Amino acid sequence: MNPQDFPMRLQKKLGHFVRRILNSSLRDNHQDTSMEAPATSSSSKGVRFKWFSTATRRKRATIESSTESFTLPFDILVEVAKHLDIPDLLSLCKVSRSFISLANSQAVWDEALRNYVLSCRPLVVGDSPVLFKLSLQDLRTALLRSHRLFTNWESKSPTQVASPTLVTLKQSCDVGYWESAFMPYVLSGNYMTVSCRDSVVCIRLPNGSCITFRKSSRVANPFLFPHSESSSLYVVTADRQLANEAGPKSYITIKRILLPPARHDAGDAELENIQEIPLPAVRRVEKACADTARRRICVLCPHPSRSPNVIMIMLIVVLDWNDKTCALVDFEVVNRGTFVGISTHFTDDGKGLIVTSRSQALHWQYFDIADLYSRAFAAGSYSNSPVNSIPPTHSGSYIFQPNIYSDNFSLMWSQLIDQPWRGCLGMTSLASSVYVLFSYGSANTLKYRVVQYYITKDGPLGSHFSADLQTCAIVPGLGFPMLAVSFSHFCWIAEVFGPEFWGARLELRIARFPPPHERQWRAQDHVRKVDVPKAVLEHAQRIFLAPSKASILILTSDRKLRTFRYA
Amino acid sequence: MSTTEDKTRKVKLVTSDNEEFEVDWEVATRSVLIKHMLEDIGESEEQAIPLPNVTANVLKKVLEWCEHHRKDPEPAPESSDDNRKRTLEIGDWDAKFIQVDQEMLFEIILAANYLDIKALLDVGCKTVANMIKGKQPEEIRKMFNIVNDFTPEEEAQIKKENEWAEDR
Repeated sequence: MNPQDFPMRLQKKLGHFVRRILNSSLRDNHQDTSMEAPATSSSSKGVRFKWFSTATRRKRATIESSTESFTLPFDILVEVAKHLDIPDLLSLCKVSRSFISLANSQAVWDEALRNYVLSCRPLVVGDSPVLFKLSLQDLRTALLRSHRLFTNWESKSPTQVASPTLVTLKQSCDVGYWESAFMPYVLSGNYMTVSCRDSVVCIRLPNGSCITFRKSSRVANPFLFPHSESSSLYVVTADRQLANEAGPKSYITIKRILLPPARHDAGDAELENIQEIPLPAVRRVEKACADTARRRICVLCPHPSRSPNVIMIMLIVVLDWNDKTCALVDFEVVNRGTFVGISTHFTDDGKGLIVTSRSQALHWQYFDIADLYSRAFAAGSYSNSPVNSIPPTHSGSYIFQPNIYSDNFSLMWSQLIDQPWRGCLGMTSLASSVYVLFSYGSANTLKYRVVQYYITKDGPLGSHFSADLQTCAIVPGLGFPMLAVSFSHFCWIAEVFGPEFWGARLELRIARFPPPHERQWRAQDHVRKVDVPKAVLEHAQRIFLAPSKASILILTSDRKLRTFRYA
Repeated sequence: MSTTEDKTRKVKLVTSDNEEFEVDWEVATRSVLIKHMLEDIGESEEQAIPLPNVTANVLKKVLEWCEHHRKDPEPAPESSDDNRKRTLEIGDWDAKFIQVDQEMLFEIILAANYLDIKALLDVGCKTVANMIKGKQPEEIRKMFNIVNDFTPEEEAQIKKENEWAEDR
């Protein structure tokens, strides 16, 4: 035979076969409506082909005894189950004993978790936020619960499941003044850490007790990272110590406070020293991020530079504070923009470090942790030579285009920034998105728009989603919208004007971001209203989103923190 | 051996029911199993490769797929797929190709597994997943020819366990 003819020959031979298949397949698959099932199937193996649809009990019985090829081996069924969503996995559990073990295998639920999170649905994990360390049973429970809450929330008329909980913050908890509208806050299990103007506060949510760290001096700037798995709070400070005759030296110190659940006022909590990591020179630490589960910290220090117009930034990445493995990264921030706009994040998969800086555009750098490890050294063994900087694995600059047809953009936020965007609201490595808040309109009727960009390793992909918030309530004294963003949702207090009432009415609204690569997403279809008493909204000072609790937290001027479930 | 030789080279395959197929090297090596076998044999021999686990009508179908996907790039290593959600979407051609009766579908999956053709296995698994989607347990039992081996008490217990999660 001529091998070149093979495909033709194959197709010819297969011709009748394919036609027969088209006629007979999937006829009782009610999802498949495109095909009209034929009245008869004349194939010689007709009974076998259609056994599952029209076969009578008797016929099926003969097939059961005659063929074993209809069942697939367990490992292939696992591959199949990895493609299924949660309701279908539940159906599998009800099929037979062997299917229970299939539908409850670790691989299947790990994949379900991955799919769930990557489709931007909030995972409600309650008090154990370290997702990838959950036991199979806990993982399953968390996913089932999240799915149920999510389904409820996505329905046309969701029910508010739980009544709001109320926590009164203790007097020692000084959260009266917020540093900025985009003040970082960290929620982890039962702890919320917020950074205020002159202090850093860790609030224990069930009873409102808190630990306050004053930002008393410029060098002792505490950064708090809660780790609820071990019920501890990590305190990272950069201290200048007059160590020896060689002159002052700086250290990053990592301390831990154990937070016993019964402690009502943890203000006098004892600090346990975990590690001290020497810095290469006297440095002021401006920012820090941490991955407490992997014992990683990244601190950001300004760095002397030759040119006054250029700011040098040094990142000291502690890859593991147990063995003091460090890597140094330094880069220039050309422009008048300050390091305030620089933020660092460890990605949740533990594989990368993302550094964004804001000047004319968003500057984006991605460092592979493996790269950093290959250039790492033990802290303390710094050489006097200039920092041997590690280039980012990926980088780029991006100008965000708000796509708003208005020439009256507000430039209120900072005189340094000639961009109509006000800030990078948040970033997540799970769904790889960056959210940018734009404001537009005139000075007395400012309107806001949230735009989502997808991030790849190489940078933002462009905006696929934007939502107009219209007018919003403003954070008192700051002129920023009352808005909170998580990777899956954002919520804000809207000012609603209507003919039936005088003035503006306040409403707490929450909307969902689209899952990655979802193009047909209309923001207005996914906005929900959360029932919150009017007085709470009127006295709101800050709102927070806690996706792991499916909750919105509202802090009011009477120092009460209220939790509202949004699912 | 050079790549030009590879392109013109033919491979003989023999199925379990003793039918012989002669296909392009490029087509046959979509199967990692055959590729490895060919590497073991070397270029000199015009030896036919026995495939004792595959029948002729299944191999025809599999080769049809291989023929269409002969120019596809090598599958990317696992890690690059990390951040992508699994979807149940199947390409147009593949969707048409896999519109076969269930026995053939399962046979194709088994053959793809045996021959180590990852992409085809994936198409098959997605198709089966699509068939399961939205089905009741009884329908899934029928599909996989499974006997309900639960006692009524067990069934009630499972129902109770899952009730709160399903109640919408």
